[in-house]
Amino acid sequence: MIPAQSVEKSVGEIERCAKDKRFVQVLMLVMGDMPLGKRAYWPIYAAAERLGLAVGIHAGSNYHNPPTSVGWGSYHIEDYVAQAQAFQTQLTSLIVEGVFARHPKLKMVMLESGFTWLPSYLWRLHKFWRGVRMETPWVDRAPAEIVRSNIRFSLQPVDAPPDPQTLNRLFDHMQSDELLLFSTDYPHWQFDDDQVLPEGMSSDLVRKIMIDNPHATYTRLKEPARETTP
Amino acid sequence: MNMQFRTGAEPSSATGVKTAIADCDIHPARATATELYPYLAKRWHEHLETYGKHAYQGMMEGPPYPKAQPNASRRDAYPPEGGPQGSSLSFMQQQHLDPNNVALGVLNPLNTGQGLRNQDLSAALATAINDWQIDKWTSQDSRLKGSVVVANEDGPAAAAEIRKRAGDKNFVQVLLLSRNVEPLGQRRYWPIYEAAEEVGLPVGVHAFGFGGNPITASGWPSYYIEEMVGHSQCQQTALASIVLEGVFERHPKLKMIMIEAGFGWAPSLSWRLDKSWQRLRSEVPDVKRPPSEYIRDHIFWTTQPMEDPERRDHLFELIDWIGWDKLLFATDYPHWDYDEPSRVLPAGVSDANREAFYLGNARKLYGLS
Repeated sequence: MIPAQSVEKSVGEIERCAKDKRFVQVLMLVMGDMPLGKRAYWPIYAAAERLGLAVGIHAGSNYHNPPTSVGWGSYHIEDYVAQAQAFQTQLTSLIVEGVFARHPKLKMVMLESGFTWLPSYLWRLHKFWRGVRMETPWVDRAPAEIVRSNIRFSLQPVDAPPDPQTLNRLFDHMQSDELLLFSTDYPHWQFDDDQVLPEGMSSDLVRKIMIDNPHATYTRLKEPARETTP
Repeated sequence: MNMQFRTGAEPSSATGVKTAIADCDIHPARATATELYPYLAKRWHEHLETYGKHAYQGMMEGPPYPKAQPNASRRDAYPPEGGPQGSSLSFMQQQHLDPNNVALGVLNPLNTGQGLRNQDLSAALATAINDWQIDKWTSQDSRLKGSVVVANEDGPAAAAEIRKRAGDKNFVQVLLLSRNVEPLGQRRYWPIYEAAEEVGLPVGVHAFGFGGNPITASGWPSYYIEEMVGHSQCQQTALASIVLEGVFERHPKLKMIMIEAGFGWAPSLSWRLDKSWQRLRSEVPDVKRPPSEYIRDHIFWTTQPMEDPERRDHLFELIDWIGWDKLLFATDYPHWDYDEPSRVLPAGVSDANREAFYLGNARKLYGLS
């Protein structure tokens, strides 16, 4: 947890906790005062990269802005559905502001974001990047490549129909089996209980999602979890 | 998508298009700032010159982000007689309608004054732009059909404008923008849907608009590309609001068209809505069926900017999930991100689906078959 409204104090807290190897990531919210790619936040990302911590972005808002980009809805269900759109705009911001051009080793994890929107979102971003990339010349790789090298997504919620065939087509549209990390959201109401792993996934993919991908993302998991200096 | 840096006037396609197409998103422009004056009371001429349009944004004129190209439009689309791109019927015919074999062109006028803070001015401008569409465009070329522009923040005024145009064959839809003061399902907009259903016009929701809300749920981003990509997120939340407020439960005959906001997100949004609704439906008792069913039964999608994955089988699967009968071809002429009709759809589509995509679906929806 960091006080994102003060970047200076956030960096201080990251440096304080990084000494304890039991911490594996910095946690921020997907809806805040400004888009996450804005340069005011860059010292947070520099500290995380330097200290080998991932940055997790979790669903949720400080409600300093309306929870949708078209204003305030009436219902809780609108706020919940809108988390996915907030993650989409944040990915755009992080990519086009050049966060990963400056911090190529930084891993960011989208937590409770949904992921079935990712393929078509990337098609659109890629198309516009080709059209107006002169506006952000530091984005020198295709957005999908940046996502594959720097961004990960938690599994839950799986916003897909219950049939395994469609879900497997979606995994194919993602064109990578390294993007997802197993999660359950326990103890929240969105917890999927006996369906925490959707049906029809190959055992190879399950192993990637449950073991290999988390290890590759949270490199501190491979290190002995002991405090180095108090 | 098309980036033209040539300044001369050329046909947009070397080969042209052999079979007739519908273009469901054409943007007609005013040649001069005063072109609407004949349709406006003198009071409004003076008002506009003294106070401007007074929208929900800081800029008096123009967009919040520089648009990459002049007027966000192709540099080769300036009419030879002067004026901005899209302001000359004869040049639109020469450059686009004739060579591309456009049999049906749906006009979506932008920057009209729809959704201003001054709602009387907004209503006056909406009426003016509708009269102007008839005089300058639809009465001059029978391929072109207009959109009923409405003062969307004033529900009763908007409904009155829709009813005034009832039965007028110059118009094939009501036009809203996606970004308004509130999400589009909110009840201030319900009179619009009621009137549209009553007169039998579908409601098109075009990306853009100036409702005053930042284009992300975390405030204003830095770059034009963020606004461009962000329109699809705006459209998703606007559509979620329309479904979850029960608009289609109350108006079972209403059809809506998502214009220039992408269609690739339709399946994932539908799945997310369904999954959330299964657990939260007690909050929205007016939503009696899974949200995906309302979307499938009521929503059509224009194609530009065309979804463009690396692998065409991914595109075909996506369209299978949405339905080949739900897409309406559009170019966005004369804007810079125009889609070239002859190059949009990859090989491997059946003749029936191709015909539906380019023309049949639009004719059926707009009742022009």
